Amino acid sequence: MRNLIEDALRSHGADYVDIRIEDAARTKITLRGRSTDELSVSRSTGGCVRALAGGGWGFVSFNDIAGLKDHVALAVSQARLVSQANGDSLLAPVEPVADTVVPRLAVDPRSINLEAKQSLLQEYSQIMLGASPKIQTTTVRYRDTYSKKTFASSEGAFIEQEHCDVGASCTAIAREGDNVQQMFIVAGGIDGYQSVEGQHDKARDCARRAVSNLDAAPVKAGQYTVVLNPAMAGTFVHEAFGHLSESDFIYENDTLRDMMVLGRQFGSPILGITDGAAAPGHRGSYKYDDEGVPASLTPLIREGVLVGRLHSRETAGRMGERPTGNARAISYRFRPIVRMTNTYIENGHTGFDEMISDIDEGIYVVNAYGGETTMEMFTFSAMEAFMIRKGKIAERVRNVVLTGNVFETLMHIDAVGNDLHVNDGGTGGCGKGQQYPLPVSDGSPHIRIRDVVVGGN
Amino acid sequence: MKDLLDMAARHADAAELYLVSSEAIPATFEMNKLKHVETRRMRGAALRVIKSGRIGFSSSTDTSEAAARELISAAVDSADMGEPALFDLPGPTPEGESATPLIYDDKIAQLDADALIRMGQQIVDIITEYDPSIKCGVELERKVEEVTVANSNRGGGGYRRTTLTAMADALLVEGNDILMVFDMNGSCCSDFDHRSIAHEVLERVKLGRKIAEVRTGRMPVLFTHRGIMPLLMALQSALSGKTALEGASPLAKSTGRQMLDPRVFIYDDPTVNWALGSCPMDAEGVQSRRTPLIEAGIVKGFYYDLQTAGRAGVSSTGNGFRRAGAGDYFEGQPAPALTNAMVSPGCESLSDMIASMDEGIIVDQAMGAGQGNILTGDFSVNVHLGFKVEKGEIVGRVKDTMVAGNTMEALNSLAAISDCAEWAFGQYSSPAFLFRSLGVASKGR
Repeated sequence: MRNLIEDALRSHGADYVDIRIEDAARTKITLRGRSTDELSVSRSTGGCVRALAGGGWGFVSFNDIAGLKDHVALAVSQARLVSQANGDSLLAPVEPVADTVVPRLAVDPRSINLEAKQSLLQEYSQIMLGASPKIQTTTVRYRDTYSKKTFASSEGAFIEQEHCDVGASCTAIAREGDNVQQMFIVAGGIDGYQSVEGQHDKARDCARRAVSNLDAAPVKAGQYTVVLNPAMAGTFVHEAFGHLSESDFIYENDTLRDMMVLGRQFGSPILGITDGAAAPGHRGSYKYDDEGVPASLTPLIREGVLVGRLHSRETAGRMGERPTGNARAISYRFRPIVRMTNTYIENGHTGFDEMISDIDEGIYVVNAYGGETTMEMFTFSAMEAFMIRKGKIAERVRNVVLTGNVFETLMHIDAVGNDLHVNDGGTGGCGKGQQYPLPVSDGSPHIRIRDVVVGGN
Repeated sequence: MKDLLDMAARHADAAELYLVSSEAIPATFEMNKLKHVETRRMRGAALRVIKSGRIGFSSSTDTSEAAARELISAAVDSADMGEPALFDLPGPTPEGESATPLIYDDKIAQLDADALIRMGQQIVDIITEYDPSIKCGVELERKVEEVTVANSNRGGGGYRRTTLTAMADALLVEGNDILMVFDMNGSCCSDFDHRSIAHEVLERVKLGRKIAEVRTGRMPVLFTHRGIMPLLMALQSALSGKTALEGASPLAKSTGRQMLDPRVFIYDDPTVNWALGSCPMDAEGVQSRRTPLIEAGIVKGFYYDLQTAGRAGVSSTGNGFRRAGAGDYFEGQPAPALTNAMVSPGCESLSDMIASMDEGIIVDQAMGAGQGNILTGDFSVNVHLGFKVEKGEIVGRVKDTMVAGNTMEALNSLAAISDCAEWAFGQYSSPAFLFRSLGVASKGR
């Protein structure tokens, strides 16, 4: 393989060429209720070539690895087509790396047979179904991926990285008449199969909470002070701010560059936000990104001020900044684009009780179904929420969806807790363009935000 | 390929092989400039076996002989733990009974990167000619795919499909205000006018330049064919045979009952010529057909794949498609999925509908669809692109606004359905819907 790659990287005629070859084995098991809805093993082997010639990009992805030399030639010819129309792409310089990375796994998921995996999931399923007669059905998902990626560039980089991602989720669906409520928990990690074991108590609790939510009243629409738990605040920081810090949004747009100028006050001095794959042991952690750039820890906001952003080699080169190792692709089918890794709000000083003590009427939002963002607007939906009345957690409410403008909302964060928790696990990930799901983590301590719009009937 | 199937059939009671190969060429413009030209070639095989009455499944991107053995043993091994198969793989289709929508146009297959670049540039030119300060992202893609389904009952078949899709977004930034308008559409036929995307985008940029205030409260809300997507997603979930079977659908056990306004008609139709979701058969080799889901507000049926139909004691509607949460789509086992969702038009003109609104909003692009409690049909979406209507006139774009409601309730308190159905995002065809009263929440300024 190495010979094939090195041969293809000779005499290509472009300014820069890189090759990624990937071999991934995946196991998926999905239980719906007691039945096994999906159980499969898949093997995916392929690669891609990226070429930069005359400032234009070409890209070819394929399963036929033997034809690598032809794929390089096609990528280079496509790059030349682009360069005739617009040849202004360039790359920030990096030191080419030669390295081999192997994960340290407590329990390698490949050493556990399908039957054992299935029966663990059956246990979670049984526990949730047995938690209450109001549990209508359950879904338990499991995925493991073991991938070997080889990255080589015409600059001399040659990196072999193996990576393991294991994830599971347990969803309980409770029903009473027309009222249907669902809730899920996630587990998983990059350190082995044990990360999805031992979730029995959490699964039971999840089912009970889904049943409790049947009795929750729909929230009344309006503006509220909200307190977000670490899971919800993690979703918030990922959706509301993280995507804006991806430099491919702004590097060619002067107006957006002005909007995201370093030194701009984004929040109050209690706010700090960081992203980085170099934070060890999380779902978005790795040693080198898909351009062969070493991972880093990038401060994005310090004391409320914008101090950094996430880069690929191209966005860094064009903006005259340092690459941060954030160029990622979900697989060899796609070119790397600027993505988050592990994104979190730094610890502050406010305890939870203090945070809610002076709220007359507000909402405590616990865990997220999901979130979405389009530049400055974000929306995310709560899995569970409670009213806060006169400084105390009060009754459950449901259908809580928060929305707002990033700039205003970050300014309205007026308390940050001291209980940072990073949310790992699950079977999903982050989506951008056509690339979903990318493994990431997010995290935060509890935070309080003033004047958030909550949708409702 | 026949060898692989025969070999698999020797190790199991029945076997089905799904083979796909495709080549996509996207040309991408960012910030008004050509940025990337790509070629994506994909191939893969998915093998499903039934052994001792149980389903086994495996997939691979490697179709060589050595890999075939690995594929077969993985599928056969997994059958030990698989679900009991409640279906028979389809046999040969009787002569003359197959639906064959037009989905292959050699002119698309012949399009090269140069042609796609020219077409993309035309879209950029149309939009920036109106206002050079607009930054566009455009993607033109042509794709050719070949799908074969073969099984040990001599059923299945194959088809080739070409698709040409155009995507465009326009971005206008003024201070902290970002206006972003998006559209995409496409066809299996080269007659598709990619420039229509540019005009669709521009029309809405023009309407959105002025910002209008919205109050929080209940008011009439009009969803355009694009904006209606969150409600259709809720219906798509409610009408899935799988959701219904599990009792998690609000429409479960309501076949033959009036559940929605009598003006609502919804079909799934993979037989429409040149539509992006059309195909002569599904991914299990079951012949395509038009399936009535809602007629005159009455639930006519649900959509099924083979296994779900078997569990429900009905026949597959030819809606078994492969989708995977991660990796290539063929890594997923067949599950019920819609092809082209077709919502029938009503009888009022869109302009009359807008003119009838004293104070309300129009939702044209919604963000956060599918995030609410989709099982109950509740939706709560951010109005990513929407307009304020006062005294029958569009007065500007709304910001920081959410619309919430319940799909089933909303579709029972309809004011009007427009007389023209249009394709949205190449996925479904729908008219615009005007609802009498929905909850709107907006940030006070």
